[in-house]
Amino acid sequence: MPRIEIDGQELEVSAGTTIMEAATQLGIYIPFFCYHPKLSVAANCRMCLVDVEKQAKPLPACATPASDGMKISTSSRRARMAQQGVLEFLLINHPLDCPICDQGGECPLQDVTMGYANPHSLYTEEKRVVEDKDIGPLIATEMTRCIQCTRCVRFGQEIGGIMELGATGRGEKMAIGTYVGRAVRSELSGNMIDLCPVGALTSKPFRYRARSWELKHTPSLCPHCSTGCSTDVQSLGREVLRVTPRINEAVNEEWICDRGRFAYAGLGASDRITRPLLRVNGRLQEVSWAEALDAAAAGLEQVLAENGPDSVSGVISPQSTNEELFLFQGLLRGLGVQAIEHRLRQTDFRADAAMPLYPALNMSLEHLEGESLVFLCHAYPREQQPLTNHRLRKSVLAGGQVWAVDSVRREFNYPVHGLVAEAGQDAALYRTLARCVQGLAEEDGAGLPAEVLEAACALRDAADPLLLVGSGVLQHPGAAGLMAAIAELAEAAGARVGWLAEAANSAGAWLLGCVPGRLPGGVPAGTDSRPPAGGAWDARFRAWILMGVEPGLDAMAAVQARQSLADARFVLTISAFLGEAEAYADVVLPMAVWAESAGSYFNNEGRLQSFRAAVKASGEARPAWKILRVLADHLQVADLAFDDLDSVRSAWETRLGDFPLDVPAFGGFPEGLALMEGAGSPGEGCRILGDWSIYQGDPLVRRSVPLQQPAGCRLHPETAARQGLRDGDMVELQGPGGQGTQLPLALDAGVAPGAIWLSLGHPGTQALGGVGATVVLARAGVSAGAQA
Amino acid sequence: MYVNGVTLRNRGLPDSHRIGVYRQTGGYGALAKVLQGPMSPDQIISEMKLSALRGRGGAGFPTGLKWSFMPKGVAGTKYLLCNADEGEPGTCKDRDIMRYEPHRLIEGMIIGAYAMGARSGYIYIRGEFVEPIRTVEAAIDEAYAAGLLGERILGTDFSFDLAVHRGAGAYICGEETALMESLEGKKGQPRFKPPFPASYGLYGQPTTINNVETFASVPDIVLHGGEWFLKLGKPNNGGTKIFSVTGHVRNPGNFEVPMGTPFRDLLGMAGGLHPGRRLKAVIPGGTSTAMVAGDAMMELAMDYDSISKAGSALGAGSVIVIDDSVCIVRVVERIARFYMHESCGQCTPCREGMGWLWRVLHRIENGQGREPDLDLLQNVGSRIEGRTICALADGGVAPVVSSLRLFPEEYEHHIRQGSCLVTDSRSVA
Repeated sequence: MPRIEIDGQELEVSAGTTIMEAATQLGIYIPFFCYHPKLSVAANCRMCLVDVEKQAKPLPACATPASDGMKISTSSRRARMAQQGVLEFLLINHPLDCPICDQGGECPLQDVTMGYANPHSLYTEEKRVVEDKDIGPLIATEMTRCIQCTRCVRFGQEIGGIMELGATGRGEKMAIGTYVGRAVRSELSGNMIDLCPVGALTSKPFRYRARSWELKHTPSLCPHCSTGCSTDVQSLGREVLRVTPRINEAVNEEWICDRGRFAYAGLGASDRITRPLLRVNGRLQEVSWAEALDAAAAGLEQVLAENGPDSVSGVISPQSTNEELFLFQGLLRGLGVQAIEHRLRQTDFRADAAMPLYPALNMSLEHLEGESLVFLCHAYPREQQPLTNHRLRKSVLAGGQVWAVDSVRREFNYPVHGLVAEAGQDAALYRTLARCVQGLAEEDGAGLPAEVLEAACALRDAADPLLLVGSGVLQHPGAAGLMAAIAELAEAAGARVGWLAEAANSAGAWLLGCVPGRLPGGVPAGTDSRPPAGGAWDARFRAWILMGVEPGLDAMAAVQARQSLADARFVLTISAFLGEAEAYADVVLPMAVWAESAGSYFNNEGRLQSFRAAVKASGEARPAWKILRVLADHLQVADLAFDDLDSVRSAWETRLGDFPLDVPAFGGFPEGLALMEGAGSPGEGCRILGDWSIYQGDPLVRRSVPLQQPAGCRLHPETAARQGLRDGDMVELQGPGGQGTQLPLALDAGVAPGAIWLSLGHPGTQALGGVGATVVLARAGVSAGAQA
Repeated sequence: MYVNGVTLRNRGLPDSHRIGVYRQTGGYGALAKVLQGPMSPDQIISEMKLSALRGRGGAGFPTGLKWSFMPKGVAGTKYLLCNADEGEPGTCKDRDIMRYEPHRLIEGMIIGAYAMGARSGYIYIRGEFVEPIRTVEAAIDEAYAAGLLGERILGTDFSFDLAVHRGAGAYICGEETALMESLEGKKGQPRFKPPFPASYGLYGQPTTINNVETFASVPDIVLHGGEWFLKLGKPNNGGTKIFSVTGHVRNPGNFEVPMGTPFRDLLGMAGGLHPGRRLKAVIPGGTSTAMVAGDAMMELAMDYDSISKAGSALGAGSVIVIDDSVCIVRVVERIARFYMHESCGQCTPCREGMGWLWRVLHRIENGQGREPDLDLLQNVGSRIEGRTICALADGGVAPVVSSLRLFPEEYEHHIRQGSCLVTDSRSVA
């Protein structure tokens, strides 16, 4: 244990500690630019040079290990000379355009200059100008300001997992950029904006909107996935202008993904509703809250009276807060309604009894880093839970192994062993694996692909494997059979099982009873409350209460949902955006969105986190919990007369009671469960595979213009050749109901032959029937991208 | 005097690059002595230490000591690298060894690999050396065919593989850790040390890297003993050294002479100055070393310690002779441009400072200098020196600062008169 002295203060540090780390422990500040505790040490900016006794030259504090007896001065004449010198060099070619630079006010170069620079530069030559690059819609570049610290480059290599930015050129011509003019596409790219110590990389959507010191900071929570990253919502007046990560080592460390960072740009969408709407003579008109609430209550009461409570279906977004979820189910159950649902993307509910208390990871996010063998079961955390994925990436970098079993080969940002099911043979693949692991397949294993045997061996030989069940399982048309097969595999391999919950508060929705058949705390609601075959969109329903959802885009059974809603007697929509509700809603109540409201979420670990409003709600929009509470009054539902959010929270906490964070991943499956794989040839058509992309999964993010990517489809090259299609073709797709859409085609050997991969959540792809349906393809010209 | 007697001994023979000629002159005898003698690795290293062979790439670090740093009993491959990225302006000695004596280099590397337990080796040759690359590759093929490389060399348990890697023309890749980065397929940028290559080198494995001339000296040391080699030169400066004498001499070329040979004699071997010219200055070790005034140089001996005492460095032995026909400002401006161009751009002082120095020198050279510019050059130079990861920047500052000290009147004339003291006819207004 070396003992060292910094600026006269003595300290004992562990071996390998750098001078910088030791100084941080003592609270001594050493200026730096290229150093970052989460990145490798580059020691290139030279700003942290310190004076070490008996050393001929000043040494960089970030890279120099403390050794016993070292006497360090961070502010001796020699240290100050070195720091001043380096700073002068950094500034000679820096444009010093702080008044028009977005980084102004939160710029390390500005701060260090104030503290360490000579007031007058000796430099009188011309300054360097560096050409700007367009690296996409999220990051603005002003490369003349770059000080070549390479934090962004190291971030890409070490955290993002793809090296999208690099340094080209040498000496003073060294410039940061993408190779051959590509855009930066990493789902973590926005973190490079935070890392950049100058104004070279700034946020394009935020650019020139405000000065950093004008912004109000509200600690918040990201509402876009079940990781539950800590964020800082920054606003000016009533407008959210920026979202950045807050440090939370247990959850998101100090990163957030681009979805969490830039989704706020959807807050100002043109179809934002700011006043209640009522359908009069077939058209929605703005009305007062009183009128709208009366109409909502009257409409519901009429259907309840004439068709009974079993004719009403309530669907709430799994992005809703615990308070909203609790009130929603309370309101509906108060009306006698049993059909309460949050699972928009699931169509097979036969194994509801086997679902856990809540979709729990069954471990902490931090512990994921230490896993040695993880099997991802139809899970794609890179897009669905990017910061959970980062933990898995770390496990692989530390020597662990990740296998991904899926119906398509996904692109990960770390080495993953992929195992792709043949089209429609997903559950069969898990069963085969289970048999192999048990050793039953020795005699018939000969016909199996080598990778299946390899996967089975990895599972069999692993000391303590982990299966993570992803949303692809629930989205499968035979979800129940798939779950049962995964449960078999887990049993055979003696593996632990965790769930990667689909949405930000899927956990809360399960815990607080927003599923048919379960009351808050998972208490059974009675035998007759299983969902009907058509789920929330079953034709038996006559009225719907929708909250925060757009079934035409969010539901797997979007075709059916649209049809049912169009045929409904009465639809009440509580939403922040009008969207498709214009076509079917009878009453629309404008609700506040996440940044305008307060509440709490359970993340994937079962961690309860709460947030408060950052800005006032737009126009007359109201927090959803207040809307539900007032509706309860109008509909005379008792016991929901809460006066504030805290009392709602106490109420659900009391109802929920204590619950275990780790829960059995599966309960009992029904006897004789059919796999329902839809096996067999889809004829001339292709079987649909697909998923909601990272930027398409909820009403807010899909309205964030800078994040949007066009819909497309992907085919195995063999399938395409058989259909006479080529890469870049525009393809006409015909769904089972005859609905058609045109999409650009990309070839991808990771898609099973006979299947077609669609980006779901777009109006065109949602019209085709969802995963498992069959589409017929025809060439319809060349896509615009291919023409260019 | 022992001239051209060690690493360039066969240079004059026809087909000296072929294995047959090399063997006829005793080549691979040292390897046989090592493997069949046998000599233990420790014995070899102690002979190397005794020889006082110092790194011929420029830094002059004792080779035997460097070899002894290689850790023993570590897991994984240990690497032996040869730095043949001969890029220092003025030096062209390794090129001649590779063209005429490639087997001497290969034999030296095999012995080094045996002494340090390295299993794999690379010779990193600068890309411009098209002919030497072909010659060395052909020689490696010959050595493989003769069972001198590859598995079970000369029937022993010792195996060593060797390959050529071609550089792409960056001066910085001659810096040992930048060379390793480049060899790994990355951008050639020096690494921060520690960790040193002996513990964390190529692909993070223990690695030793030596210059071509260093390796080529090894066979004779092994054959004749460290004592013999030491006595060729001076204490602490063992053996012979090739000097590439260029500039204003009548017969420029590579001369391998004993360490400690008077500069006066070396100048004579290079044919002396052109008639009627006076020796103004000498850059004794390549452009990255400080200039020495002509008169002082004439009294110096060519060895590490003597040149170091005179405030410069022996470097790679590239002796650039400057007579009174050229302007020092012009010489230094050109050198500064080289270092600006070759800076890798990693460290702030070098990336920004080298261009600054050149711009000021460029102004002075073109008659647009200002009175405070000389202080400015000193000032900028002092902020660069010793503040960077590698020594490139220090090398770029040395000629500037030394010339300011030795020839202030030439700079002052440029600034005050707007013209050149040396070439009055080439007035620049």
